[in-house]
This record gives sequence, structure tokens and C-alpha cells, in this order.
Amino acid sequence: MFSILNNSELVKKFKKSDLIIKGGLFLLFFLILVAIFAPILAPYDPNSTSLLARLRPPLGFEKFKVGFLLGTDELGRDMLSRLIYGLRFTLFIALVGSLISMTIGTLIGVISGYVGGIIDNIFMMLVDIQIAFPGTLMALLLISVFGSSITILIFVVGISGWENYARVVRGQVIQIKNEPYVSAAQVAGAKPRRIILLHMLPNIASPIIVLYTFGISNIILLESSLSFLGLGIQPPTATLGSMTGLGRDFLSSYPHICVLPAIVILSIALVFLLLGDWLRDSLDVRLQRK
Amino acid sequence: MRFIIIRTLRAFITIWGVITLTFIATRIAGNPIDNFAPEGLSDEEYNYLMEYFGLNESYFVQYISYFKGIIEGNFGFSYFSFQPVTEVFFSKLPNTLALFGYAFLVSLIIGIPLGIYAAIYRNSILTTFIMALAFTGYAIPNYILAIFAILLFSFTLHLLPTVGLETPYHYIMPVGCLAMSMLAGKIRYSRSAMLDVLNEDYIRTARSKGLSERIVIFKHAFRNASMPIVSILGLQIAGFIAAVVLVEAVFSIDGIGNLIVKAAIFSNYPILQYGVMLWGSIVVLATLLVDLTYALLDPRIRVN
Repeated sequence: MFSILNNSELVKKFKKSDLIIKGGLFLLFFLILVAIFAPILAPYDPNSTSLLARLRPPLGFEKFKVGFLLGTDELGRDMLSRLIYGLRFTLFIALVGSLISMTIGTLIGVISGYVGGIIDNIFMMLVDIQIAFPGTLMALLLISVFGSSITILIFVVGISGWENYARVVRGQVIQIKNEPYVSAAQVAGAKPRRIILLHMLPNIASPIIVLYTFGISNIILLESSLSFLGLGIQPPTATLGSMTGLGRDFLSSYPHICVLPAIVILSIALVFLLLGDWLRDSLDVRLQRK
Repeated sequence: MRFIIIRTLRAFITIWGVITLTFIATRIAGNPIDNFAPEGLSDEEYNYLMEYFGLNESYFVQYISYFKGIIEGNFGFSYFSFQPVTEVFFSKLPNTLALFGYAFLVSLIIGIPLGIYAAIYRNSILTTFIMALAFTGYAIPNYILAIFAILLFSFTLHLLPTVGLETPYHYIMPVGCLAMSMLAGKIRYSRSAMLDVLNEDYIRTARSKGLSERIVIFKHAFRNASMPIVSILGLQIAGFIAAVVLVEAVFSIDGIGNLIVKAAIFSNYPILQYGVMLWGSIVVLATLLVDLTYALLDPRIRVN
């Protein structure tokens, strides 16, 4: 399964790719590093307030205060530190949440496609229900019931989007179920678990990886919009969405409080979209040939 | 016929599943009343509320009576205003419908011609621009777009108002932001539908007959491409609840999106349940309609 990650063809394709893709991937790499090393990079504690340095603009504007490169918010908290921690938080939720929906979706898709029959019908009915149940509404409902905490938020974003994996994986499994190498494994007496894990999954890994990348982008947007609506993690924890949402009140006179996190959300979601697009084009050889 | 019955049955089972899951979700964390009732209620008041909303029954009885209510057209009462949920919803509906309708119309009028253009002139500079527009609309979440729009048009240029829907000017930004997120799909789908059709043999035949390019495009190609476009549009309508919720939140529009968000914040479950059910039903029925239309027009689907 992991052979796909050190795929030399992929490296070759990357070298040939557009400047936009290269730039995007470097930006992604940079953002991930920033998120990982947040405690070292952030100049201040993201939640420490300062009465004397409230509502300062970023470097280059009037009333800029030395030391607060991107200015401060209404409580005098350093914007740069909050952005760095918010990024870390958003990325963490997106990666873990995406992992959850990938695991659930792939599992259901594989079982559905491999076993077929009534189990397939039941699972596909669940997929139908999930499609009819828009992710945002489900998230609102669950947060309203369970309150908002990191665990709930990860759970909520994690169970949104599994239906995409389930549908795609099921289709792929049905497609390769009758391939000679699967029949050969069956004839040789391999157990279903072994066939699925060793023979099938490696062959359908590409679409899963592509879906995972798009999933991250979707979850970033879902999480930030929930936080924007005030239903995500509660203050004072810095998340990009809640910074944008709370900063909206200061948009007329101190736009940096709202605009800076919005730009970070935008660029990070965009970078994952670009990565997904690029991976789809370069990995999905099978789909292209069809 | 068999296909139609099975498909319709499935749609109704799906709606039932959505309703049931919502019901379970709202009861799973315990008694809803503890979430919304103010602190310091006397026992008498507490019991009165319990009885009023039928919360003192067992969950099973509640579930049955909830279902009975749905069939009779009674969807419960708001925990706060004590009004029937339908009444609350319909009072907010005009704003949301107007917003959504205008945005849909705008994106339709702009998106489909642009998509067709992009399919016909694949290598022109304008096409690159159109596809960039489609990507932007798809990639920029509309609440962030809305914030930038407010910053530019309201606070920098002082042209447009920021909050509410009182005058026609109030509509420009929210409708624009909503339309922008709908535009992306319309451009891309109409482009790919047109591209598919333009490769067909009958287009080549039409051209070799010497018909003018205009007739080929509009009479032969577009008519055939419009069917998949329309079906996608039907499905697309259903997918925009998130966009509506966010746009209404940014512009403080008193519509269904804001109603649902407030219901979520204050645990006003009957409103949430109704919202989810309504939206789920719209999605399911739209899908059903598309499937049935296709089955009616394409015999191959009926047989499978």
C-alpha cells in the first residue's frame, strides 16, 4: 500500500509539473512545518492578553507596535501566534478527521463490494441516508446535542464524508473482484481478510489517497465554517474559523483581525485542493485509460 | 414499473432513516429539556414543560407520536416561542427563498453560457479566464468571499450596505456571494456536458451537411447537452444548505439558515429536526425525480 508513496513515477511527474503545483506543494510543506513547530515558532502565548497593546495593526501600518509582526486583536493577543496555533489546530482536526472518515468509508466500501447481497444493500441504504443528511446540518445537530469540544468536533467532521469513500471503494472492489489475481488468491485458499488487505487494497489505493486529499480540504472548510458560526471550539482557544468569525465585528476599523485568518484558511484549503487535483491526474492512470 | 416502485420505496426508506437518526441524535444525550431550560426552574414549571413537549413519555412512545405527528402534519413546537415549527419556518422562508432564488438565477444566466463558450473555444484566453473563475468559486468558501466583499464594497468604497435585506441594494452582495459558489459547478458541468456532445457523430454529420455553426451548436449540441445539465442542476439545488447558512450568518439575514444555527446554539431540537427532515426530503425527492426522469427517457436504466 505504501509503495505508492515512494512511487518514482510520481517524483518524475512532480519534476515535470507546473510552477503552480510546485509552489502549492512547497507552501503545503511550509504550513505543515509551521504547524508542527508552533510552540517554537510562535513569539507569544496565543492566549496571553495585553491591555497596552490592543488592536494594533500589522507591520507597515500606522500605530504598529514593535514585536507584534501581524498586529494584535481586541484583547491584545498576538495575531501571529494565534494564527500559528490556529493553523496547527485546524490541520490536526483535518488530518485526524479525514483519517476517520477514510477508515469508516473504506471499510464499509470493501465489505459492501466484496460480500455483496443484502449487506451491500443495507450499507448502500446507509450511504443514501448520509447523502440526504447534509454534513453541515448533521454537524450542527450533533454539536447542539453533545456540546462542542475537540473530541466532538473531530468526531463530527470525521463522520462527514465517509460516504464518498464507501461509494468509490465499493465500485473499485466490484470492478477488480473478478480479476485473475484475485481468483488466483481465492483458489490458493487465501482468507478474505488476506485477499482484501494484500491483494485488493494496494490496487485501489490511488483513488482513496486522492479522496483523502480532497477530504482534508473539505474538512478544513467544514471545521472553519462551524467555528465561524460559533459552534466550534469555544474561546479563548485559537482556531482559524473562530478568529474569522469573532473578527467580523471589527471588520470596519481593524480588518486585519478578520482578514488574516481568512487568508490562512483560504490558502490551506486551496493547497490541499491543488494537491488533490494533481494527485488525481498523476495517480489515476487506471481511470484515465478506461 | 418495477424499477419505479423499488426506487420510490428506497427514497421513502431513506427519508425514514433520516428522521429516525435525527430523533435518536436528539435523545441520545439525555433529556432535551436539561439543555434548553433556564437554571432555577421550579419542579412545577419543569414538569409543566416536560408534559407540554411530551418529554415525560418513554423514548419509544415519543418516537411513535413524533411519527404520527409528521403524518398528520404536526412537526412539534419550538422549545422557546412555543409556536408550531412549521409556522416559525414559514415566517423565515421568504428571505431565504429570495436569496436562494436570485442567486440560482444569476448563476444560471451567467454560468451556462460561460460553460458552453468554454466547451466550444477550448483554447481561447477567455476560456482560461472562465475556468479560473470556476476554480475560484469552487475553492473560496463563500463566507470568506463575503468578508472580502464587505471589506471592499462597504468599508472601502462605501457603496453597499452590509446587514439585512431591506432594499434591492442589500441583495447585491449576499446574492453575489451565493451565486459565486453555485457558478463553479454550473460552468464545469455545462462545459463537460457540451464537450461530450460535441464529440458525437451527429454533430459531425450536421457540420458536414453544411449547417451553420450556430445551428449546430444551439439546435444540435445544446439540446442534447441540456438533459444532463438539467439533472445536475436539480441535484445541485439540494447541496447548498451550507452555503445558505453561512451567507445568512455573515450578512445577518433573518432566514432559515440563521434560524437553524440559532436552534443549534440553543438546543432547540424541534426546529433542528424539522430543518434536517425538510432538507433531507428535498435531497431525496430531487434525486428520485432525476432518476425517474432518466428511467422514463432511457430504457436501459429501467431494465437494470
